[in-house]
Amino acid sequence: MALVFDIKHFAVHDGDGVRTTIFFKGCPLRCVWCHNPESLCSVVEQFNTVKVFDGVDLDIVKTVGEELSTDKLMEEIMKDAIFYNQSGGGVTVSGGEPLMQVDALLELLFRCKKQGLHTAVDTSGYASEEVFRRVVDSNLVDLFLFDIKLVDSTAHKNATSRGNTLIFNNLNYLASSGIRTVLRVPMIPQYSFTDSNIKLLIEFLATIKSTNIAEITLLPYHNIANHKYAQLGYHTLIDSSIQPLSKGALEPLQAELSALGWSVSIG
Amino acid sequence: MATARVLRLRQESLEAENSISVERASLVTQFYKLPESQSMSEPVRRAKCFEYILLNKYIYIGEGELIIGERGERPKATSTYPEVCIHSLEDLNILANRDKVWFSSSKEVLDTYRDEIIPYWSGKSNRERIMANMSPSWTQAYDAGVFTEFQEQRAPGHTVLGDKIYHKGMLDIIVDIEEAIFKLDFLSDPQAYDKREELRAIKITCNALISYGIRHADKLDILARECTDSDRKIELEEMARVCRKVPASAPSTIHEALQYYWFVHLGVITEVNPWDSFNPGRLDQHLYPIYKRELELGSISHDRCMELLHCFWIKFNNHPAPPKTGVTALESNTYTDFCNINIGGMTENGSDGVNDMSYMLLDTIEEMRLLQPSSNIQVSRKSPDQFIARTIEILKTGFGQPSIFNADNVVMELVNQGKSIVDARAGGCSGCVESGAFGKEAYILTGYFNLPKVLEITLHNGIDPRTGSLIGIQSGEVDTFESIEELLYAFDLQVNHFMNIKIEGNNIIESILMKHLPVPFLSALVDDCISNGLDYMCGGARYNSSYVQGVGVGSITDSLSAISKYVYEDKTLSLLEFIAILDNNFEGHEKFRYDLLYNTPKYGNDDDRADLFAVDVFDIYHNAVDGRPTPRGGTTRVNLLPTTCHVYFGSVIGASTDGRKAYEPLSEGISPVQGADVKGPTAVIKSAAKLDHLRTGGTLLNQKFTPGFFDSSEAIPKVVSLVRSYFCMDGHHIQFNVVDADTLRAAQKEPEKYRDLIVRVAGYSDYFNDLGLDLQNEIINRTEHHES
Repeated sequence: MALVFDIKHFAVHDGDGVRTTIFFKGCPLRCVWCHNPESLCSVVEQFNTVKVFDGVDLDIVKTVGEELSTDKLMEEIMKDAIFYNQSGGGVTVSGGEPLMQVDALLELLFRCKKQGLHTAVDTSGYASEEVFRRVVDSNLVDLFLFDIKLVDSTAHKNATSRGNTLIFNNLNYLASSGIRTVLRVPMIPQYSFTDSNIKLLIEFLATIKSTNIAEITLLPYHNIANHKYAQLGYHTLIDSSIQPLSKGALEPLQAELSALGWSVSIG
Repeated sequence: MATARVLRLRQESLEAENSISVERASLVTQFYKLPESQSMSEPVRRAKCFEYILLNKYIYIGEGELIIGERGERPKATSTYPEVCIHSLEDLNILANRDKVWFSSSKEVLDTYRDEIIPYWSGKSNRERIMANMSPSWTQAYDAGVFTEFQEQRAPGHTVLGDKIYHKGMLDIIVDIEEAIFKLDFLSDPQAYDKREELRAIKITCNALISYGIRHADKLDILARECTDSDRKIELEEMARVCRKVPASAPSTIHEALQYYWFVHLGVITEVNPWDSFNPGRLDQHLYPIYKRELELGSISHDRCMELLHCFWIKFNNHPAPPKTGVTALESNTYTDFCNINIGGMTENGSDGVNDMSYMLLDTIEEMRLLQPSSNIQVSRKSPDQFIARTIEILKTGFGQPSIFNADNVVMELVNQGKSIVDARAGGCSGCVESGAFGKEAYILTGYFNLPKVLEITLHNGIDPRTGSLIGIQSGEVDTFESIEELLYAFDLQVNHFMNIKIEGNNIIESILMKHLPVPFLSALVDDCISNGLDYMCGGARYNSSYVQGVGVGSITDSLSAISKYVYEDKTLSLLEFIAILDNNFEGHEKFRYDLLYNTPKYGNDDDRADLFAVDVFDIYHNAVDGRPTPRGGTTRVNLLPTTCHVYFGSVIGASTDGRKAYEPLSEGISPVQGADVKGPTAVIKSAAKLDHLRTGGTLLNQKFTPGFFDSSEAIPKVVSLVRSYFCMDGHHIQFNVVDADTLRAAQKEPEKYRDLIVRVAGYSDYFNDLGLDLQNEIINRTEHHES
């Protein structure tokens, strides 16, 4: 059984081709900019909201999260098989942090590979070395989408509640595995989109560039999630005055990284 | 790039005001008053009337035009057809004053209508003839909005030209006619006289078109003589030469081919007012050999060819659909004539039909950006991805054209109907989505059929709750239905009951048209009218089909899904209690309506709990219609498309079990109910593909995207794969609406109707509804920015 908070069909930004993305619920990090606050907590959550509908106040109970069996997940995934075939797509497991439910994750990936599907795992990299190596060594993952949030560990801890030593160790292991990995770098004003972090980032990237780690997606900050926090009854962690970044703001960095041999897209 | 001339002509076309032209109505009336017209056989009289119009109408040649000819006296002056259906003075007033797409009438028009047209035609029009012959049960069902009737105001049309005119001039066609007359056997063929009259009539129309071309040439000569601009003078002289060569002889240049088609087009829409105006069909395949030959000879350049295509496109836009009469004059505001040009597909021998001209036509569509002509691409397994990708490039600009068809499906649909595979490959789609064998088939749409209305009547044991009259059969009180299957059985009985009424009416109307409204000119163009000696209207075409178009698949599926869940599975309430809630339009039951909308299996989410009802309804509908014979020797078939009828059909139905409030629109085509599909386009496609498209003559599926979705370079290949996937599953047609800021604003106001609207946010896409208000506003602004 996996605790899942969403299944997204026709996901087109989570790897190659047309994909179905399974979002596992539960995350060890608390990134202040997190745009999926419903992914954080490792239990099923219920929220009471009042909705005005047809001029009447309705009490609506919203449930976030559902325990789903691997069979049930495979049923949903295989509904879209024809689209994977046509587009070279497949399945992406995201979160939350999918490695928090490593047994369920490996079982699901095993079943996907049995069906010959392309698999991707979208991870923060924050997992014990043992857990991380189990996933990498399973030979069940074709593509990792790996987050690089902040390079300085203290800054990382301040922004996400955890340091990044474990994350970078895991990334080094991934580099040696030969598995294709796309680095996803959220660019958050006042946090990661700062001169100091970008300088450190470029230095750090030079140390891990390898044949299987040569792609980067820069993710411009968006305050998309602010209303979700309110709906869920959470407090927003990030300063609400921080403005979204335009694609254009990231183009100089894109050019700089491209010149260093990275294949860079702005997501 | 469009030339200055083209930009000016395009602008003039966009700015031209719709008006009623009384010229045709006057000429027709004058002709029918002539003593000699009284004794003619009907086909000859129609042919002579056609000739009278073409010999006497005003010849319009616009400044700078390269392709010439107008149905009225100027662009957008729109003819009327009093012998088919008479506009009253009130109709003309409504048309002049309605909010959108109005048609002005000058004092001359109104006076002529009052003094000549209305007095002469009252009691003689075909519409009156039809209405006088309809049974009371037909009228009741028609008034209740169970079905509509296409042929009461416009002549049956719905055919598309094949490749005939690119090989044969009118003189060659006349040779065929003479040969057919020569072969007539007056000794043993009892129809020989009728056939000779028909063939004589066809010949008259062919000669009339030649004369019409010459009249243009004569006027061009005069203009050339008067012209002081030496470049234009040469052009006018060349145009005069073209108009003397075509339509008399087969074309050998692109200019001749386009001008020939245009004369033919004007002929068809002058003869009568056929539905879904005629179009040139597979224009790229028709033009490509001529273009290639001209390129080799050095007689045309790419740019000159583009300019001619642009001029040709603008001519279509100059011709709005002939406006209707009565209530529909007010209702059918935005109806355009669906000249739907087909691009791509396959050649007659089954190889890929995409050629250089296909891409030139796509360039033309992108550059002209006109409402008319409409366009589509035909995609077969053999078509290159680039062809689809180029089309999506155009679609993403939010223009809604071209739509995308599955050419392999079209061929299989046509072959399933008994067409030869070669004729099927030369076919394609016209109107909205209707499959046909181009140049060889009369495929006539007869009207829409309101499936959810029939369910409403079933739920009231044959009574129309809007009027309280018993118009259906008594198929059982609802409290006697112990399962959804029993309800479906009663629904099946009602569908067949109303379909019998509809088909009976169709057959009477078709018989009237066969007798009173032959179309000898159209018969000259469609195989095998000449060799059969039979009019297009009378079964002369090689293939003859009639369609009844089902409407509201999504709405009825969701309605059945809700009944199944709440009445028969969860047993939350009885069907009788459910109907009582509907009668009150959900008042006091808001939470239940909320659950109906948000917590009930819905069509469009790849959920069999709902989708299998779509399959049941399709089978019931298909079996009620398919295979029924028609008087002209045709067969009745189904297709699933609504045009704008889902709005009218919704307006005659009270609240429905899917949570729809009284009188609101139904779902359109085979698309899900507006906003009911919440799992994205792959799920919609999977649901829609559960219907058996191959047993239809066309289905219509719309998908919405915002422009921002296409920002990423990866988006287009992914949409291409979406199309390929749908077509792998035998989907017939898909259209992508890339929506603009206005739609997004509407989505903010009525989010429940836009639950399927996907927008690109940042790094990912999301449902517009799921976004906070600020972000929605931001995206709206962003969209506008994209468009500026």
